[in-house]
Amino acid sequence: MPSTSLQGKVAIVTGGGVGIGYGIAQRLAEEGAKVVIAQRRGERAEQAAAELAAQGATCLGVATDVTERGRVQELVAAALEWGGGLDILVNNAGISGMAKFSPFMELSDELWDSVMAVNLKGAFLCSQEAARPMIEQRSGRIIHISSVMGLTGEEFAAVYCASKAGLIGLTRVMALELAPFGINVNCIAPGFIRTDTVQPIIDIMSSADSPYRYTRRTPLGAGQPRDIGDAAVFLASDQSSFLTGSTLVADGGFLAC
Amino acid sequence: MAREQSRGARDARGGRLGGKAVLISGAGSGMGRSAALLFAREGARVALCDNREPAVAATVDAIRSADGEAVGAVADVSRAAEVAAAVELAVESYGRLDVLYNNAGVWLPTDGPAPDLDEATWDRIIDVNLKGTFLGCKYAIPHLRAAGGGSIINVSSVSALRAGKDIFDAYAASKGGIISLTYSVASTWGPHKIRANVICPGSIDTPMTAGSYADPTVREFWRTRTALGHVGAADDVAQTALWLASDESSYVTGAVIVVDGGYLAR
Repeated sequence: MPSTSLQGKVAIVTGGGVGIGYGIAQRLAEEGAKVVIAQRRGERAEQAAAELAAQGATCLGVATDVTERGRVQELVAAALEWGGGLDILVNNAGISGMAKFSPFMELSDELWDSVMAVNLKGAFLCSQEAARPMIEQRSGRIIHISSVMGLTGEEFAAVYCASKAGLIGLTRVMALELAPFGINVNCIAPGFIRTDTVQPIIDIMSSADSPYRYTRRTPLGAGQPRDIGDAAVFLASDQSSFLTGSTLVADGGFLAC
Repeated sequence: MAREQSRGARDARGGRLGGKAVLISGAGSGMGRSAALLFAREGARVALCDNREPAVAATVDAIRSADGEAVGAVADVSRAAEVAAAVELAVESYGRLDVLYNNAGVWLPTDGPAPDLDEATWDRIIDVNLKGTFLGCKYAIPHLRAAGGGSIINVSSVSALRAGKDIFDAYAASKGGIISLTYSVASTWGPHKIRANVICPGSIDTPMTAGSYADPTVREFWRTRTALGHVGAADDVAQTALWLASDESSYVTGAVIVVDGGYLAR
């Protein structure tokens, strides 16, 4: 019978050292997965791995840069060597670019390129490299972390919204092409989740003199990183074996109203 | 890692739904029966209904013979009094209601393109699929609210999102309406911790689809358009419903979850 258990599985969570990624790494580990925490800042990767290990998890921290293919290849090789396989990839690493106020007509090439490099190209590179051993073993799960901003618009967030919508498109095509190899590819679109990086943005957007016109509400209020971890466990486990190409919105009702 | 840190509702009764009182409609066969058996195995106290009496008894017996808890009512979900009675049975039996699974649905071979679609067929399909879902919400929500929150699971279809083969106007419209209803319910009741989500199954082997899938060209149409290369099982949908019924999805509301093996991806 399908269960939530991820016992014996090996997972990579990019950006797993902080915020939503940390919540995902924590939940996957609680269900028994061996988790590689990949983070640009190596010391944070190791610290996060040590924190989760202290809670009983089997974790490895790896410094990486998802925008560089060579570094991503090293990450996948490290996971294979440490874990003895690779079953789950969560493409969570991302940047918002929203700390810099950027109306579309003032959006710089540099900001566009940096956000696209991490959010979209990073997911592409990690997926391609992680899928190689998954194709060989004829099984795997790849989960992209998009955003409600990939499904709706927000003024002054053009590149973030475009990158997150791009992940949803990437999900569909990867699902179609990798299905014959037993690899399911799905996507999670989180709403507003309380993290250290997002909190300042929520504050800016909801302040009285905010240039942002933040009008939508979330019936359940802001969420926690572990909530997205719960969704990742569902998509990583046997419970969801007939789901592929799907985008699971975990937003406390934000998009519904 | 300590199991009790896990979000899953693993209380003293055990299972991912330990102690939750659930009501499942259309539980006499197919996806509803699968979910009823699965929910009971996961520790739920199950109230179920169906419009066929022997099917109600069969699912109740199957749950009880596996040491699960179940009560059953005969109900046509298009009739308000019968839905109200099924909700009352659940609350009287278990003292509360935590989960409503509006699974009952119908497709009729007389469904078709509008010029050929008779009014009685349209009415019956809309009454069971859409009005039945509304009636479930109508009578269950006060009890979910009294329980301090809960989860409503509705069933739409990939046919609500795209025209399909031999799926015609009444069925498609009824399933589309269920998505809109779900958004509205999620928006209104979220602040009361009542979540509402909708599953859109793709091609699934059930007694409802058995008639049309008996035609090899229809079955082949669905199979070849499903990326995973096979028609799904009722249990695939039950697994998603279980997740939505459990506390593992506590931040998910107003979501449309497509369980279609990749059919809609292209």
